[in-house]
Amino acid sequence: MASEDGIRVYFANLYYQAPFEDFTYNRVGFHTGLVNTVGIHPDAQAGNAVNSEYNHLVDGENFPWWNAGYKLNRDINLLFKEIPNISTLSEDKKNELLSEAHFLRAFTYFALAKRYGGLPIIDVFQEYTSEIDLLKVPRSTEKETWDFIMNECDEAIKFLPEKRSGNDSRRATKWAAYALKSRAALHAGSIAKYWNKAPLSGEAVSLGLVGMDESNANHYYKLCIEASKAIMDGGFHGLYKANPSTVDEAIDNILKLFQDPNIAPEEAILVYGYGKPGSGHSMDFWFNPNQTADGAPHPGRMNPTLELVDTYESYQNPGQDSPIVTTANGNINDYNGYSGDKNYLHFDTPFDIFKNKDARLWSTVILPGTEWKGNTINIQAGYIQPDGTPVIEADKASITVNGVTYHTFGADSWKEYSGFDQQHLAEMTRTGFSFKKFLSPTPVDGNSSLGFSTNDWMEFRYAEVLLNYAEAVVESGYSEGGAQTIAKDALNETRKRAGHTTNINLTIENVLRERRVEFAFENKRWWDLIRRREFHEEFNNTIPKALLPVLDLRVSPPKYIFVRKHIIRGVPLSFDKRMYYGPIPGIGSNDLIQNPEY
Amino acid sequence: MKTIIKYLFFSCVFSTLLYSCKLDNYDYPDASISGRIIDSETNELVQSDLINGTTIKLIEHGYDPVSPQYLRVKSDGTYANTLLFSNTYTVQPDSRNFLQLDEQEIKIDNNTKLDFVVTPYLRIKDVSFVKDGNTIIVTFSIQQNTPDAVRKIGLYAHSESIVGEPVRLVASERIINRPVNSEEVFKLAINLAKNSTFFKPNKSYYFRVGAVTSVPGIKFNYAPSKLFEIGEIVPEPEPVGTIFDNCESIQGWAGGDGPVLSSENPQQGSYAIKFTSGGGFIIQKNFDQPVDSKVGLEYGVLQFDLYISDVSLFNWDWPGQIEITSSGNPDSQELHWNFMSQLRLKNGWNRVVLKLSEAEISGGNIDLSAINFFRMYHLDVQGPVEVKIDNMKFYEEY
Repeated sequence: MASEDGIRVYFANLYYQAPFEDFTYNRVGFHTGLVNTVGIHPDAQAGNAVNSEYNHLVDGENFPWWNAGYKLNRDINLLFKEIPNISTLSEDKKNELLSEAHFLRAFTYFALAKRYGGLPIIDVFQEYTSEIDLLKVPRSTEKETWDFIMNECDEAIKFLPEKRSGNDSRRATKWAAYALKSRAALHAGSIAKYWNKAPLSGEAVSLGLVGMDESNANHYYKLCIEASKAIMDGGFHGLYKANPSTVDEAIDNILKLFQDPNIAPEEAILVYGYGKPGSGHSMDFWFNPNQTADGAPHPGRMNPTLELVDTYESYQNPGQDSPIVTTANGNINDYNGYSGDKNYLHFDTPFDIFKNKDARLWSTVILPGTEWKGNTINIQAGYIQPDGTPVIEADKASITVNGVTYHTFGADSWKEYSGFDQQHLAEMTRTGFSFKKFLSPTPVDGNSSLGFSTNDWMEFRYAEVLLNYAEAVVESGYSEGGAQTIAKDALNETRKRAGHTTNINLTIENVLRERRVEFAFENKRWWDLIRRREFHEEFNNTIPKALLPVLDLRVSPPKYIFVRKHIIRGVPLSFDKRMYYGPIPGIGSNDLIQNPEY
Repeated sequence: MKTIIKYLFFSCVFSTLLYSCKLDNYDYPDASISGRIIDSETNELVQSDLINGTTIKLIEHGYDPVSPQYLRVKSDGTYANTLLFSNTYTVQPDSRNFLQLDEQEIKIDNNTKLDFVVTPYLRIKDVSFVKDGNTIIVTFSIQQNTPDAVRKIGLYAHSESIVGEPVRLVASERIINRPVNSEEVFKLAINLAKNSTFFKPNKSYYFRVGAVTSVPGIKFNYAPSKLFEIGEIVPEPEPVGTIFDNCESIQGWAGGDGPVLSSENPQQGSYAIKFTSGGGFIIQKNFDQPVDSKVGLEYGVLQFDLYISDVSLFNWDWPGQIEITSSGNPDSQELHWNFMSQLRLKNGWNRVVLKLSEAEISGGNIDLSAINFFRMYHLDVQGPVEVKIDNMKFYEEY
């Protein structure tokens, strides 16, 4: 570590260990690009999607990160011991490197705190001795832990550079440290504000190791507001293509942003890069629709839910969810399936029903009958025979009407459709939707194996800063410096980028809707539900919902009707409140106080 | 590849399963404990949930540190653990729906019995189920044993007897968030036809009523479950309900550029009431004869058909309202709803369904047996519109 190159290598390893919740992060852990995860994406455990084959678990053993976190912490602490002693470094360089170490330590403790609450804070490099008890550090309170993280962010902000380039372009900048503080402060503020929605009890609670008093909420929201504002005023970051002239242009811009974030240095605040095909990530392997698998043997595993699709606004009714209306009476709460008694609306194509929905729906989700990689993606659940007999989510069949043959799933060969066929259920969407955000628009070489996707991941991007700011302002009622107006503008900036022209008001419903659709499949939803204590409400014997496109052969020419219903093979999913904190491993030997109900 | 992945998967599963199969030379567990959770006043079992319900913490003596063991109480209020080792244990209920008891030390050996006599937070009394057409209706009262507010009540249905808040196919719940009087009668209902995904004809299902206090961490209290053979489920017809106004006459109506009868595509009968307006409008009707809605606040619904020629002219952020009152005037003895974007109105006819339970009350409580005023207004409309209204009625919806 005596040379600058040696230090770079050491840091590179720390960044590798750091808790980037990227394409290779899921319930199994980090760096699972080459692991058979059966394609369960983190958002498929938080209501934005389901896996085609498995009913994802929502259990407390998901996303654990304790031992690896403390190992990384130890490696970071070594820097604080060694860097001051390296005589070849200038004071400025030492300060910069120490700030970078503070950034990594804040990042590490944030990842630990959001999983476990109050933590043992070990901020010096411990020397092993035979007196094991001297190495044991008890847990601090949850509040002390968040304050430690805030302080670490401040230390990082002090000396990190504003700009990185060349080989250092993926290292943290001052803005990355502000963005981390913005995210962490919003998390802390939310826990203080919403702890009482799902209070726990027991020793860890009475000692303050988990939970915070509501009176602390506005303090953290204010820290979030200030950190976000520093980036907004900093002049280095902004939205990529903030002013599209048409909705189609917006759709294209947003697709490209996620296919390669390196085109958007103004938006990307911290990027995690992939280089070598074969040791990259596996988004294209698991999540292409069946028809465009590029050789991947188990595609089609990301099935966005109807709940998510309903959430996207319509350009005609700004500031509202825009649920898909399928029947003349407009009842959107009937999930009992097809009935001949109901008066369904008829559509010429399988995608007309989504007309006027937000650009981000079109750039995130593959809608039935739309084009992807040069193919029309067929997603059809069945048909209504001319005699009125429904054949829906049934075995594959075909029927000839007026000399034309129609197939239940939209084509004859199972390689030519992507939905609902239970003979090939693992490859077929069961929600009526497939997925394209982040996926390569061209065939991926080597995609028959894991790890051949190499597009980069934005851990922090400018849109999150805007929406963190808006949420913190609306939750705290903060109004200094025109904050209410700035927050409304921030909320509408990401909408405007998506082709909206009407501004909406700063309300918590509007901010949360915007957050859900802007960050869909960016692994944010799980933590949003955790920190706002909404998980147990969203998942309370909840069966995810599907939208079934069905070809109605009773009319000529045939038209499409749509059925809102529970997904096939769905099971009710519930979130146990104790899972707002994970179980700390090794209680028997580390003498820590366990989290409630474990 | 698929085969390889499957093979890897199976090999992982087997290696995990076989890992603990090596024989050891320890003795087999020789002790067991069982017992009941009993209500000190009624001597009945205290019902609970299998998941998220009552648990009992056992701390075995002679080890330090020692991880406590937790055993779950069954949903009927009994428990048993037959895989313990003879020893002295410290025993105390852990998560629970009754007032906490002190720890006790007990020697557990072969067939130890231990009952806990407790005071439940809530006692659910006078439970009565009826099946009315497609609807299972339950009435009951709640006795509070602490001053804390009741947070939520619910009726839960499932095919298994462990039915409850965590385990149910269908739930009908109401947030209470206030202390209740033990005389107060609560009513909850589940409509079978509206949940036909979950209820199969001629099968049996368990229904159970529960309530939970607002004390943090305290679990649901329940009455014993009831098994129903649900028979045939007939399709749910459109509710007949009570006519509020069938809109066949303009008598009492006022507003816009004056009401006229319109025979063009009425939704019921021969006419609808039609208004035209150059912009914002107020539409109202005064009833000479008050209407007895024959519905309650909890399950009542006001439904009507509403035609709007061009919804894009409305500023849907502007707070328009729909109101009914029993005072003959606005803003007194009133229920009102927002006439805003949440209605998701489209051009042409719309069916507007407004739950009385979701209305805001202003100017005192409405007398639902004597409704005599209706008003609907929206003052931010950017151009001429045509508005028609028809087929106004009240019914109860479960």
